[in-house]
Amino acid sequence: MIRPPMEPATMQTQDAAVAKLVLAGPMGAGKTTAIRSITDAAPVSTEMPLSEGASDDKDTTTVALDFGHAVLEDGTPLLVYGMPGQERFAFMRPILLEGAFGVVIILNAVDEDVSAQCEHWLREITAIDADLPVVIGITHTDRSASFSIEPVRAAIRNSGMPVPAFTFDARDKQQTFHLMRALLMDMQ
Amino acid sequence: MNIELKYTALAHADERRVRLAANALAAHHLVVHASDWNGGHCDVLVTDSRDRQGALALERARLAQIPTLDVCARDNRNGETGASVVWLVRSLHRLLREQPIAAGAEQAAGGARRPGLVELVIRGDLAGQPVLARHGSISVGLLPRTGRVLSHTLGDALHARSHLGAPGWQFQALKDAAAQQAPGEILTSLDTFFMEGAWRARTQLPRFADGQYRLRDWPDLGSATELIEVLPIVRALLRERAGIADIARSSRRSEQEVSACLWALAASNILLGGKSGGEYLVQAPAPARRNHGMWSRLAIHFGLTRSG
Repeated sequence: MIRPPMEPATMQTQDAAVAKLVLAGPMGAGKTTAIRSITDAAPVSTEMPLSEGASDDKDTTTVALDFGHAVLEDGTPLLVYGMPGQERFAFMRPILLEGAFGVVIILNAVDEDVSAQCEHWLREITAIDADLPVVIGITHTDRSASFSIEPVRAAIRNSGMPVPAFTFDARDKQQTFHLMRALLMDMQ
Repeated sequence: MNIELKYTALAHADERRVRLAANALAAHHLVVHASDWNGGHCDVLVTDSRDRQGALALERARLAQIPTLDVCARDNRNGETGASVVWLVRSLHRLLREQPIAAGAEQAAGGARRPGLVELVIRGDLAGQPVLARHGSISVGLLPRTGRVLSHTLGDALHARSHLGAPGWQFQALKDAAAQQAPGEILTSLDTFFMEGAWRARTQLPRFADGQYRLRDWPDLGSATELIEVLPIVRALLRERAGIADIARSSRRSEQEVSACLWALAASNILLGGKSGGEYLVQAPAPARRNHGMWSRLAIHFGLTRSG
């Protein structure tokens, strides 16, 4: 079932009193889970059953975007958007990144070529906005005995965009917050 | 007196001259055995700091408190074309006269008495290698190429991490094939393992050698959620090549805390000494991106800073 993503008024992110964060990355990496950890609530999702590649763990995918929100201490709304991972929704990316203060790229350690994914998403983001602060979170490292962080670091060096890269558990609120701290530290 | 002289990263001609100088030191009643350095203990190390490997060897030797001779030292007038035998004999004689030479047995015992993290860093033969680390009945595999720690149980990894500041560790380099069979199936982040261990042991660790340092990459501290204080130190090391006091000032942490981080980052093999170069430093974000008010609100929300 497709649910309505949000009220139109919440899209007014040019307003300095609204903080907008975007989560990007391939399908199945854990963006929706990370939004839940950041916002403490189930995100409003536009999830559809997977027609291909469904598994016991994942039988739906985000087809347009995920949305969650939290409120900062002074009442400022924090809007968190999850980009759809599929390339056919690439047209959504510039729209979602408009007005964002930063991007969290979430990669899946189980992917055969996680470094290629890293390069791809860094390239995608910088092509839209080269100055946007970025942090990389790598999930599911417990499920990949062969995972190595070094190729991801090499991809980051190749991109010329020296961003933090942390392995983390998207279900863990503290680890997801720590990823956000690295993003903020890099912005300071 | 028997002296173990080691050399590394020397041009072929310099290596020959060092061997000749070592023999010539017999005139000063010094029996000097010269051979290639494997990263272990020795009485004196000769190297060339113009070479990147040589510069790293100098750093490691300084950490291990091994007397060193740099063939491109300022007082070597022949420095451009290499070290002369006469200069080498004079310099080595002066160096060996000034430095008390510890017996090999004492050196080995010193290794066992040092905190495990320190021993791991100063053992140049272990740098960047997969290592089997044992402390009492606990063993963990340290795999720097993948950035992971392997252990039988999470409890083993936690025990090992908690004792990194303690002596009594044994380290053994593993061949790549053996590394695949390092103990256990529990994988955790190597950078987090070292950083949490070093932070916990920061009052026990000696001060890291003075020098100019910087970081090659962001360490993987994703599960080090308690170590918020480390993030400003990491950022400072990514932004500038600096000494301990400068890093402490810019990150607003103590020199002891900076020193502990340097031990951890050196163990992770991502710390660069000031003399090697080439890699990028992190650039500060464009001014237009800075919105201090919003940043502060986000920092409070995510627990990076406190309100008020």
